[in-house]
Formats: sequence, C-alpha cells, structure tokens
Amino acid sequence: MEKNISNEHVIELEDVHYSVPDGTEVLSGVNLNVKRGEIMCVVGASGAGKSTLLKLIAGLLRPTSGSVKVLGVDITFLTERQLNDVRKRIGVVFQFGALFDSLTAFENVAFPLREHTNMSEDEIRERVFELLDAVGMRGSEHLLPAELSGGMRKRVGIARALALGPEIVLYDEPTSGLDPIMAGAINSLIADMRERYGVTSVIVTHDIHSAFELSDRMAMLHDGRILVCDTPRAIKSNHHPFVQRFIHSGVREV
Amino acid sequence: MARRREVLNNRSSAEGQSERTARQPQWVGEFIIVPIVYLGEVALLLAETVRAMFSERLRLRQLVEQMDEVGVRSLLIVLLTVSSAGVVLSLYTAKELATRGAGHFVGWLLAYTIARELGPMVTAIVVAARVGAAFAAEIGTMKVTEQIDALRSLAVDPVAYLVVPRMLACIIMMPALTMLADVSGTLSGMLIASTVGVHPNIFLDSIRSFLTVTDLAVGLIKSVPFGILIAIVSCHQGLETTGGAMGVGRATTNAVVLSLILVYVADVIMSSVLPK
Ligand SMILES: Nc1ncnc2c1ncn2[C@@H]1O[C@H](COP(=O)(O)OP(=O)(O)OP(=O)(O)O)[C@@H](O)[C@H]1O
Ligand SMILES: [Mg+2]
Repeated sequence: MEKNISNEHVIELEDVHYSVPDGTEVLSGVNLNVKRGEIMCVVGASGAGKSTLLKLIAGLLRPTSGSVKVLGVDITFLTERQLNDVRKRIGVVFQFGALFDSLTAFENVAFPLREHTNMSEDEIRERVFELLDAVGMRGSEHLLPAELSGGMRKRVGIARALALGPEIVLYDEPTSGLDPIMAGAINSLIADMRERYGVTSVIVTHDIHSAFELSDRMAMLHDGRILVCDTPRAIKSNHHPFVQRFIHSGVREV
Repeated sequence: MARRREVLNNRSSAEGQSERTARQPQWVGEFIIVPIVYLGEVALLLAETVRAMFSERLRLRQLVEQMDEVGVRSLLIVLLTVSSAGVVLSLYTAKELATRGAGHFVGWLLAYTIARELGPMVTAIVVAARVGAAFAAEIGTMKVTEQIDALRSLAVDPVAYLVVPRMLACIIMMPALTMLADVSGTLSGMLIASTVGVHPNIFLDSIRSFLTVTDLAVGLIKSVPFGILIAIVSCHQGLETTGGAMGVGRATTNAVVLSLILVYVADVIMSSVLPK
C-alpha cells in the first residue's frame, strides 16, 4: 500500500478554526497533514463539518483563524485571483454534484478543458469520453443534470473534477447514493488515480468499510477537531469510546 | 456541541443588540446605514465587473445567449407595453388638441414624450421585471446549489463568467430595444391620432419640424445606465442568495424591486442633468 506516497506534505492545516456567519464555531482547531500520493479518508458524524473542511482546503472558504497550506502555498490570505493557480491543480467533487444546470453531462466535463486548455474540439471529445467511461457514464453524455439521478450526477461531477488531471482531488461523499457495484468501481478509480498518476485524495465518506479498505490513513472529525488520524489498523485497535462506537455502529449517528 | 452552539448564538446576538441600542437609535441603521452598505456592495460588484470585462477573455457564447434573453425575448412585451402607452397618450391628447386647432403639435408631443421618457422608462421597467428576475433566479439557484463554488473550484471567476456577459447584453440591447419601442410607440399613437382627424402626414410633419436629435439621443443614452443598473443589481442579488428555494424567491423579488427603485432615481437625476 505504501507505493507512490512521498514524504512531502501537499496539504497542511494548522490550528484551523472556522465559524459560520451566525457565529457558530464548526471547526475549532483542526490540524491535518496529507502527504503526496496519500489517500486520506475523513469520517465523522453528519454535521460535524466535513464538507466545511474540504471547502477550506479548496480555498472556497477562508478560516476564521489558523493557516491552510496547499501544494506548498499558504492560501490563507490569497485573493480569489491568486487562488486560481492552486485551484487548477485541485479537483473538487461536491457532495451533491454541483453540475452546471444549463450544460449537458458532456459539456460539464468539457467545461474545465475549454476554460483552461487549448485542446481542439476533437481532443476534448476524446478526453471527455475517456473520463465518462471511467465513471460509467458513457451513453448519457447528452443528458442535462435535471435528467440525471443523484448518483449519476455525482459520477459526472467526479469526471469533471478529474478533467484537468489534478494533483489533489477532494471527494465529498463520492459513493453515497451509489449501488455497491458502482461504489466499488469509484473506489477502484480513486485507487487507480494514485497508482497511475500519484494523485493525492482526501475523501469524506460515511462508508466506513470502504474507508478502511481504501485509505492509507483515516481522520476522524469530532467536536470540531481531528480526534484521531491514523492508519486503518491503528484506528481499529484505538480504544477511545467514540472511535469504537463510530466504527462499530457503522455510519451516521454519534 | 448543540448546547455550545446555542450559548454562542445567544451571546453573539445579545452583544449585537446591546451595542446597537447603546450607540444609536434603530432607524439610523435601517434607513441610513443599510442603504449605504448596500450601494457600496453594488458599486464594488460594478467595479469588479468592469475589471473582469477588460482583463478576462470575453465568453462570446454566453454573451450571445444573454443578448437573446435580454433583447430578442423581451422585444414583444416591450413593444406591446410602449405601444399601449402610445395609444393611451394619443387618445387623451390628439382629439383635444385637434379640436382646439393645435393638431400639428400632436405628432411632436407624442414623439417627444416617448423618445425622452416613456420609451426608455417603459423598456427599463419591462426588462427589470423580466430579465432582472431571470438573472437573480438563475444565479441565485446556482449559488444555493453550490454551482458558484464549483465555478470557483474550477478556477473560473463567477463575475467574469456570469455577470460580464449579462451586463454587456444589457448595455447593447437596452438602446436597441428603446429605439424600437420609440418607433412602435409613436406609430401606434399616429394610428390613433388619424382616427380623430390628425392625418399621418401632419403627424409626421410635426415630428420632423419639432423633434430634435437631442430628444432621441437623451432617451437612448438614458437606457444604457438603466441596463447597467438592472444587470448589476440583479446579479448582485443572485450572488448573495442564501437559504435554499425560499432564498431564491426572496432574491428574485428584491432584484426587481431594487432595480426599479434605482432606475427611478437614475431617471430623475439624468433627466435633470442631460440637455433639455
Ligand atoms: N451557511 C451556514 N450557516 C449556518 N450554519 C452552517 C452553514 N453551513 C454549514 N453550517 C453548519 O456547519 C456544520 C457543518 O456543516 P457541514 O456541511 O460541513 O457538515 P458535514 O460534516 O459535511 O455533514 P454531512 O455529513 O451531513 O454532509 C453543520 O452543523 C451546519 O449546521
Ligand atoms: Mg457534507
């Protein structure tokens, strides 16, 4: 499992606090490092702040205090325009897909290629079909997001996030709402991206079994902090009562 | 966790309240500070849009789409509204003037009123209602379904991608719509006037001899700031949307109401500043 992981930290969160506009503190002192090529699963109760954590890493939210470093760049105080260089190297898979309503599945995946590359229409077609194939969405490319099921939307979202060949991919529940076979296929896609391109993945998931199987390390978010962050094996033998309850009861509730 | 959140909430809202009541009466906030902050935000978005317009490549496809939405799809209702205004205006004035021997003023009176005020204003009101609502609803929906975040995560500036084409479409299409509205409003007025004894030749002669290019130009010039206001105010409402479907509804209503208010204010200012 250790192959393709280097010791370079591509994501470094230091004492990150985040409060929503109404003043509620969602994250209260998160420390997290992710190495290049690593697959890191983040688990935690619903509402614990996992999506918030991913958005902080993607620079979509700004921490109230603390610092966020991505790919060696401290992005904490960067302007939107300065952030764009880093963002081109990160793919984000949103929890509900966040596909562009007015574009078909094909155009959604082609969107980043059209915006940021000089590829010809033929090259774009080829690349988009390759990506749609990888997520099992070939044949639905002409459909609008409104005509897709939740799971299909999510898979198109994955294809779009991978289009520019990012070094880091942040997945927000990539397999929730998918049937077990499709979920397995997405999990192997994630592993494959690492094997082939050394992609670093941070995966928010409620699927504790996939998390154990897939991840090099798991981080457990609880009460606004990372409660434990360790290899799956170490987590299994961790005696903290919350950890035990979480991995045994399986999923959502505390 | 839940309890802590509640405590935090209470504390922050209590603090906010006491600060406000200690320093200033309530109305200062509501009627002075809120509008100033709002206008500041709109001005910032306008500045950002102008910057993006010149520093980023133009999305031609988006621009054409929006020109279709703002121009082509609004044309019929704009023409209908202005024509009905022209008809009514003519009904009220043509017979009255004709019977008093001032029939040769009817054409000028109508054309002047429509060119300077009714044309640009009615066009702006119709576009604010139709297009402003559409801008706010579409962008607002994108905001609450994280599509705006998706744009940002793909290193695409939402202002350059969404606001610039909409504002340009309004800048280009508003004078065009106003021009056509002027023509159709005046012609329908002429039609009505001819039924009460003002012959079309007299009507047109009257326009030719009294209406100046300035009258036409003032109306067309006014329509450009109207378009900018409608686009920026509505896109701003869309981008600031929070709170799901209900939030989108609120943003849409606010976009129309605020666009209209600002259009009225701009109309008064411009009408008093521009050459008479
Ligand atoms: N705009 C907002 N205003 C107020 N509270 C918010 C806002 N956004 C998020 N929150 C709160 O922040 C907390 C964390 O939300 P987040 O979406 O990160 O949770 P999550 O761990 O991803 O949950 P899930 O597993 O259900 O997706 C929640 O308790 C939520 O109530
Ligand atoms: Mg979430």
